[in-house]
Amino acid sequence: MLFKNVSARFEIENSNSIDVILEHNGYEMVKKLQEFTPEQIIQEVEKSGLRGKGGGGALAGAKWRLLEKAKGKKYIVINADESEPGTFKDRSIIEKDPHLLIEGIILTAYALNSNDAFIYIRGEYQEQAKILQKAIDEAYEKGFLGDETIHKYNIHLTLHRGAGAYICGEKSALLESLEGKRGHPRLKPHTPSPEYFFNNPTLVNNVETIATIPSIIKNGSSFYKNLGVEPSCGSMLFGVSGHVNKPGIYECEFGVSMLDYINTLGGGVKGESIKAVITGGVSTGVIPFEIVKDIKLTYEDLRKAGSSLGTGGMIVMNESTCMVKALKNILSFYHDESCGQCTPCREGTFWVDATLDKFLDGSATLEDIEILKSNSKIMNGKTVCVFAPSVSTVIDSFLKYFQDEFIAKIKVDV
Amino acid sequence: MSGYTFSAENLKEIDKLLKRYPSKEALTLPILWMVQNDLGYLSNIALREASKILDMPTSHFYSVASFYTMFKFKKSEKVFVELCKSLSCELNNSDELYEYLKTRDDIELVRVECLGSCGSSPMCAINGKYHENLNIKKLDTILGDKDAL
Repeated sequence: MLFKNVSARFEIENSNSIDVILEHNGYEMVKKLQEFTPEQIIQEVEKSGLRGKGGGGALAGAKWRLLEKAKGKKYIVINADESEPGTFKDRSIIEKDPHLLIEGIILTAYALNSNDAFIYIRGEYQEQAKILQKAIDEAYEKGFLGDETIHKYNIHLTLHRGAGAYICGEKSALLESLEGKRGHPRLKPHTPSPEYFFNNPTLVNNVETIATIPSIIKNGSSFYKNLGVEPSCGSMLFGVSGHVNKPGIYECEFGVSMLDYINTLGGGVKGESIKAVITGGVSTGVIPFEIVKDIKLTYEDLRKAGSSLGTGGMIVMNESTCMVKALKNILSFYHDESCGQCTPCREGTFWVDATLDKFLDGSATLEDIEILKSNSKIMNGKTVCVFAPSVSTVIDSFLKYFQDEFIAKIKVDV
Repeated sequence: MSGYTFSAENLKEIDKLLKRYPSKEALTLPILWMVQNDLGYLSNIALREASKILDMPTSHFYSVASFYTMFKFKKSEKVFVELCKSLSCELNNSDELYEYLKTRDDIELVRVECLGSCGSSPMCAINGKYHENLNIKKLDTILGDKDAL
């Protein structure tokens, strides 16, 4: 069931050191960079069906093409602001194979005619930032980065640390933060367009997306396209945590059964049985066991089930889990992390969080169920970014499948 | 009132970064980190110095820094413990660790959002360093060895 593509070198001892990685085909494609034209690389990525691994799942090639067509100085920004509860996959790449990411960045920058790349890493990843900075320094020393590189393409790579704001994982908020501002998401244009960093066209891609590029260029787009189940092509660093015996990151092709994944790779549920699974980070909906048992890990299957694949970080909950408390945990996260720019989100997350407290302290009434529902409606589709709509999805999914538990918390006055 | 000077090493780093970014405003976060790494918090005097380097008002640094939870305006006098409270940690009994940590008066305790250690929960960061797969006994040992923190 395991399929090691991006994670192929994770088990090698000292795999984050450049000397070690150079003995294991490290920078192989970068050394051959001049054998490819930028257009060839873009086409390979387009044909591979690679989708963004940060949560949205948009086609990477289409996003690249937007930048390719844009005029002016271009920037590449790697989103390593991994902060979604349940998600810890990019961390594994940074810790275990940072040079794969750097190789991917060089290929991407060359393909898109950019000479400046940034990695925006979440502030809490201090150890990971050190590992990554060391890898970047090594890549400069060996001539893979800098003004005079062995592959004859100049590129500078700078590591930029965030400072504890979940919303900066949203690409436009990330760019605001990279520009030295508060991390407020930007309004989106009506037509597809690249992002802009100080008004310069910019590509923002997730760590795992870019770390996949070297394997696509090496093995060809058809290799990648044939993995998984079209249109969910390729493999992904799925993760599993919560009530499982072997939590962790395990790479698989798209299309494996969620239950098999949990039972085989995740070591099975800790406790009697699986009650529910949050499918891909807490911004995706919850699904009960009846759905979990038949679902396959593809973008399409999860969307059909009313949730989404998100970041692939599953949180498993066993029969003892109180779903009201679980939702309260998630909402307290959202309440903390709302950037405060849009009223429906800032106030909505506050109200839902406070309303859930009432269920837990026994003061809720039936009306509070309606308050949860109406707040969810108010938060959906009326804000600058998808933060609040995600909260809506989560609230709705908990109420759809576990409303009984919420009602059971209501103490009727005699 | 004594002043604040950026170290030669930091000034060199600032020079390097000024060439990398399209605008010097982008150095806001890197400079805030330099100050915090140096002093343990963001002091008024240091931010005034930073404002001279980037030629931006001091208020800009306050405005930006106050958005991000990791920037501090006061130095932690005690061991700084950030206990992850997100769902995977909660499912693996982080509440129990919280109850225990609350009883210790030798630490400054905050409950923080997901630190990206869901696969090795429950966990906390002590003075920024991650400690994973915790239980009370393990935590007690770690906090007992003050020199190692």
